[in-house]
Amino acid sequence: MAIPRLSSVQMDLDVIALDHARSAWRSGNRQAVESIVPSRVSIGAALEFACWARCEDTLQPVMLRWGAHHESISRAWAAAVKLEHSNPTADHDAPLLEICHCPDRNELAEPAVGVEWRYFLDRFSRSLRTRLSLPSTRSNGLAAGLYEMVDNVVQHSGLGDAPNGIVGYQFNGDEFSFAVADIGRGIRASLNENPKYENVQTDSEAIVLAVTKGASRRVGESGRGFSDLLRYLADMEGQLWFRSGTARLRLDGRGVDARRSSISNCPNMQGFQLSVTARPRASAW
Amino acid sequence: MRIEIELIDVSLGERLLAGASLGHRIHEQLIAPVIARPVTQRILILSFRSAEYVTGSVFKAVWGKLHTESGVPAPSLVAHVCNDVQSEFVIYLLSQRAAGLEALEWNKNEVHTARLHGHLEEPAFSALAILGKYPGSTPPQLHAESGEQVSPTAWTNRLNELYRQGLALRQKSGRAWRFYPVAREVIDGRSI
Repeated sequence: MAIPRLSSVQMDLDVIALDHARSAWRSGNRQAVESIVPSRVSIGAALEFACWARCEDTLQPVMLRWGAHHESISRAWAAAVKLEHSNPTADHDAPLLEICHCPDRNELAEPAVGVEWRYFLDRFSRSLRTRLSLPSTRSNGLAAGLYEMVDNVVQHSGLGDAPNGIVGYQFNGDEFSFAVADIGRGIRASLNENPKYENVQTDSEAIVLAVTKGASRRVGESGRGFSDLLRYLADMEGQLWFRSGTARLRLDGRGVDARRSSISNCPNMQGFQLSVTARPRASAW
Repeated sequence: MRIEIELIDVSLGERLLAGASLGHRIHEQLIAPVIARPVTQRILILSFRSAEYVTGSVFKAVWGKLHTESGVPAPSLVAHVCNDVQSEFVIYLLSQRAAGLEALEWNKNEVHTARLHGHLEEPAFSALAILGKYPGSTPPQLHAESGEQVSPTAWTNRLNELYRQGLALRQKSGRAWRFYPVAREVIDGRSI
């Protein structure tokens, strides 16, 4: 059956729309993807798209075209291929958008080495305080949560001490978002290192275990990062998206209660990607 | 009992301490070399002087390695903790169903006052309080001093539990163990 050629289609590009695009691309309907003209792009979608383009060379013309119209996409790509380390936009003291390559293990562990990374976190924290009037307790907690997610890339992606990951944040009105993405082995392969989880065979099971139960590749240990992140997002109307392999998990920021989550299948892709969007209300504190 | 108090600034001059990578580095570079030096008995005070926020991953890598199932290589206390750091420390301790001390006053040979955080059963806490009044006692001696209707064996269990959690020290004296509190006076901060 002939694939109909579509004229340009304007659409908001979030992680779910990106899943649909990836399905179309994988099924051979590349024209459907090429016809998309993203109107708004979430930071999570920008980082996931950069990871996808890193894994699939044929996608790069689309990436270049979308990137020409959307700063988040071009910057995510620049970070993914290590063209730039850090690149704040607008007001450098409290940027609206910033995307950089994830720091390596040494930069995370040695403050004197990871100066750029710490400036990045400082700017994120300052933007939370000045743009959204968050108290320092909350801004520090969220910066700590972002730090933990980036540290997870080094700890669990299987990409060694200098993994190819991207991290970014964006402010839009009364909302903020941040995302971390890598093209490593994903959660299931990481958990399978632990004898307790060596029989976990689906990405869905692995992602739920890791995010909501603290499952870790390390024997006798439980991960704390995800549960702490959910705690930092309390009362902020947070939406969290986790993707690994063929599974996508959505949680709201009120807690790790499975009744507040949904798990769905998505087209397979390397690595692990996380994105968070939240809308803090000043009346909450 | 001769005790050496070792103060270690684990905050590295940083405002935010997060991530297992940083936590492991703090342990390897700052704590492990101190523990490796031979002394009769030491107590570590881990200062978070510059820190405004410390995550559970850092406490797991730093505090957790000093409080393992197989024992406590050196009794430890946190110090110079702001409200947010104290709050994260308590959340970490409760997640481990463990107790920890925050040093408030000390000199080079003794911790005078500390605040207890986290989870500790009431009998163990009262044992800690009595031990502060009678440091260097054996379980039978504390049994006699306390006046509680609890057997000497139960006292031994309580004191061993305090020792296992790094809240008390012990020293062999003939066939008996003498127990000492890590801090002379302990304020109950479990409800914070």
